[in-house]
Amino acid sequence: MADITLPAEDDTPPAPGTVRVWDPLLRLIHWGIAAAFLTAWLSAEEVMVVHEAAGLSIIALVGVRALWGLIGSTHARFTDFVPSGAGLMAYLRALVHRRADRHLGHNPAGGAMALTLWFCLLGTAALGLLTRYPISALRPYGHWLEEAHELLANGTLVLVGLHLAGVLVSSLLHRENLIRSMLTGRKRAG
Amino acid sequence: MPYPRLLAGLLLSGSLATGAYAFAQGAGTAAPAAAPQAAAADLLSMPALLDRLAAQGYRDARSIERKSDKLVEVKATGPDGRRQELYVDARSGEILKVERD
Ligand code: HEM
Repeated sequence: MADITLPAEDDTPPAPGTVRVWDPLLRLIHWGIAAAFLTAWLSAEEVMVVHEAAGLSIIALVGVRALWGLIGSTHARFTDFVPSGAGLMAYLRALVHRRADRHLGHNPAGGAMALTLWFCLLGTAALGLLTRYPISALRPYGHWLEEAHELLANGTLVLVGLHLAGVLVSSLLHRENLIRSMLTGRKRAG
Repeated sequence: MPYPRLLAGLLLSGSLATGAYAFAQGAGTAAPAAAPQAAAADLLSMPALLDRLAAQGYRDARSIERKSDKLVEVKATGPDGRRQELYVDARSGEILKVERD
């Protein structure tokens, strides 16, 4: 797995006028999931030992992130960013008119995307596991499990594309570099 | 609103359940212990396989050879009295292909 070096934030003084948004564990999990997803994608049907390890990492990382979503720092908590249906629609409507508000944590679309990604990632990994280590009752459907695993993996890749597009759009709209924020954990205050 | 916590709980239990299953199956260990054994346990024994063939009218098997963990090749006399070569599914006993011997 690619090793992830986070900026040593204790040595570098935070840029003035910025606030801490993403805590270190959240960032570690984010880049860990990104690396594991990439690894799983590249090793699929090639290096199965690596592919399986990547899938297991994803299961663990999503689990820790879910726990962190209950007990973690402010913007890590699910209560901070899981949108209501109406809230999400209102945000998307505003976005089309380029009037979407800036959010320090996830905006409603980003929150919905994060949630969808985690469920799809976990589902894909679970289906992969069942394909490889079938429960005997499911053995006759092994082929379908494998198809479902691939379908969901492809779907997740599409979602990752949308995720990156969303990060880009939101960065441009509010003139900030969200990718750097995900690395340093800080965003411009207010 | 309780539902963000519900979603986090759902995701967490999903991860724990999947992780427990992976652990039980020995997934990710260099030698995946559980899976091949479970697979081997599913293979029909040779006598059981011949019994199934006998039930379909094949008799006097002259040779029986395990080609892989999926396939067994059997030479036997068919219901029509002719010598035939059968390719049989090693797990289900299903006859996959029949050829004249
Ligand atoms: C080079 C690729 C990537 C970049 C630049 C990137 C960037 C970002 C950024 C900037 C955020 C914060 C969004 C916000 O401000 O609300 C974020 C969040 C997130 N990204 Fe990515 N991302 C990448 C790849 C991935 C991949 C491959 C996945 C999943 C397979 C992923 C899943 C997520 C999730 C689940 C969140 C929510 C994080 C949390 O709340 O813990 N990202 N990403």
